[in-house]
Amino acid sequence: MATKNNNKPKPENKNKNNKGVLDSSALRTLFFNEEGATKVYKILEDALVSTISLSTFLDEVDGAGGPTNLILKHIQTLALQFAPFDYDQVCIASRYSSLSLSLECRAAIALALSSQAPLYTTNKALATMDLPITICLIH
Amino acid sequence: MGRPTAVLLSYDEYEKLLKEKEEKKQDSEKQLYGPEKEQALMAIRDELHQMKIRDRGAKGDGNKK
Repeated sequence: MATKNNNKPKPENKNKNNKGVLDSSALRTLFFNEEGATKVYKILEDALVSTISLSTFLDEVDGAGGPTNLILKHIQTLALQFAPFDYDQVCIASRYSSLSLSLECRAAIALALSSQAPLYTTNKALATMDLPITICLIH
Repeated sequence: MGRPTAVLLSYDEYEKLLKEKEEKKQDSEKQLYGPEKEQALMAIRDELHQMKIRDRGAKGDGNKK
């Protein structure tokens, strides 16, 4: 299912310098050093991550019995830019509720849209959808 | 169409090709950030790698029973 063009929300152009938004799959690729990790690594310093995406990634680590506190401490040292899931993004994310995407996925789309940055993901389905953002498939 | 073709290279050409490939690989793995951040990234990867090993081990034990 795709969104209609006349319903496309207008980007807000808040952070022009951001090279990209990383969703939880991009974080997974980078931290598990999977195929495409170099692509994420190269934009890391100027990347934005939704706190929802971070939480989703940590849930996955926790579910597998990983040391989430330790991982969080190291992530803090990496000094990634985290964006809270604010009211504006909630409004944008709600526009895509009919697309059968997870909340995390919609939060990442909302962040990419509001910061006018491409979304880095491994989710191939996103590339086939009519979204008003650039989707960069990591692999 | 689409069939792989074999190319006969001289030893010098082969060496040059290997060198180019190695340079390309080194370039893609060049450290872009400070030592603190690089260490943090390596630490995360190490922790997650250990987690995966433990997870596989636990699943393996489960299958044996």
